[in-house]
Amino acid sequence: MSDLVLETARKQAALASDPYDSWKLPEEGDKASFHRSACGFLIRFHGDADFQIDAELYGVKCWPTLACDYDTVQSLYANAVLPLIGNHQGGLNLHGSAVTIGGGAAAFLGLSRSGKTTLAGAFAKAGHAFLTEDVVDVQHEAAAYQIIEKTPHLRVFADSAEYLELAGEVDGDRKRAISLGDALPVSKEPSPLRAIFLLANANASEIAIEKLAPSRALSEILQHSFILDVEDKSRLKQHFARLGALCEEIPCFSLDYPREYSRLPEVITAVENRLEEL
Amino acid sequence: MELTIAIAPSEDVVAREVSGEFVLMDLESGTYFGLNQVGSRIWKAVEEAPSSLAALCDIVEAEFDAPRDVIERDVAELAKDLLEQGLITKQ
Repeated sequence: MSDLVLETARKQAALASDPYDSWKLPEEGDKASFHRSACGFLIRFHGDADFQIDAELYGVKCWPTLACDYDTVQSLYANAVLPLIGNHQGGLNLHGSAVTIGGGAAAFLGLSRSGKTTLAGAFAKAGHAFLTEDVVDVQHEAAAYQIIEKTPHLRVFADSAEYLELAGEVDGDRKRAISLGDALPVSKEPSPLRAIFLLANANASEIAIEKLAPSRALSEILQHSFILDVEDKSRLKQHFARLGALCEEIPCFSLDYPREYSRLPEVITAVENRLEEL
Repeated sequence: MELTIAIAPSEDVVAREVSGEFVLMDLESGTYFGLNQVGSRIWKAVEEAPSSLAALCDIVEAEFDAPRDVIERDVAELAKDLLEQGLITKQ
C-alpha cells in the first residue's frame, strides 16, 4: 500500500510536459492526464487534484485544488490512484462494482456513467450483499479468483440515492459517497468470483444477457482496466496475460437493459437466473 | 492484395490465445483485435515464421472446409485489416 501525503491546496498551473496518456469522459472531455515527472508519475485530475507517484510506487503526494474537498481526494486516491499502482505491481483492478449472489461474486464492469454503481446498490437492496463499487479488486490465489470487499459505501447521484433509499446529502450534479451502514447488506469477506457482466451502454429497450466467447470478453474487458504507464510494454504484456487467464476461467456476459429504476428488479431476476444456469 | 506477399507479426503486438481464438493488442497504440478460428490459425502460422498469403491459404484449405477462392479472398481481407491496424508487417 502506498502512503498518501496531502499537500496544501493549489491552483493547477500548466505542466511542462505533454501527457503520455489521458482519461476522457463521454461528452465531458479529459478527466485526467498522465505525465512523467522527475520523481515518477504525475496524474492530473482536471479541476480536482494532482497526484504525484514516486517511481518506486511507495509514496503518493496529493495537491488538491482549492475547490476540491477531502471526500473527493480520498475517492480519487482509493478509486483511481491505488488501482493504477496495484495493476502496475501485478494486480488486477477493474473498473466496476460487485455483489455476492448465491455464495459467489458477480462483477459488473462498465465505463463511467454506465450504471454499475446503481446496479450494485439495487442488488443490495434486493438482499445480495454489497462487495465493492467503482473498483473491483480481483485476486488470484490458490487457483481461484476472489473479489475483495471494500469500504461499504456507494458513490451515487441524488436520484440513485433516493431510489436506493439511502440517507445522506447528495446534490444534483455530483456524486457523493454514502455509507451503507445498516441500510443495505454488505459482505465482510472476499467472495469467489462466479461471473463477470460487461455493461453495454446501448440503453436497450429490453434486458439482454449474452454469453461472450473468452476472446471477445478479453477484447471488451481491456477497456475496464487501470493502466498507469501505457508505454511500459513489458508490464502491458503481463497485464494482458493476466486478463486473458481471467477470461478463460470466469464466464463473461454482456448485459444491457433499459436505464430505468422501475426495470432494475427485472434485471436482478435475469442475472440471478443466468447465474443459476452456470 | 497479392498472394505472393509475406507477412509477419509487428514487433509491438502481443497475442493471447483464449479458448482457441487469439486476441491481439498493439502495445504502441493500445488497439486490440479479435480473431476468429480461421484468423487464429493464420496468426499461429505467422507467429512461427513469416509466411506468404498463398502459403497461409494452403494451410487454411488443408484444415477448413471452404472453396479456394473464398479462402483467398478472406485471407487477403484479413491481411489487409491487420496491416491497416499495424498488427502485421510486410516482409
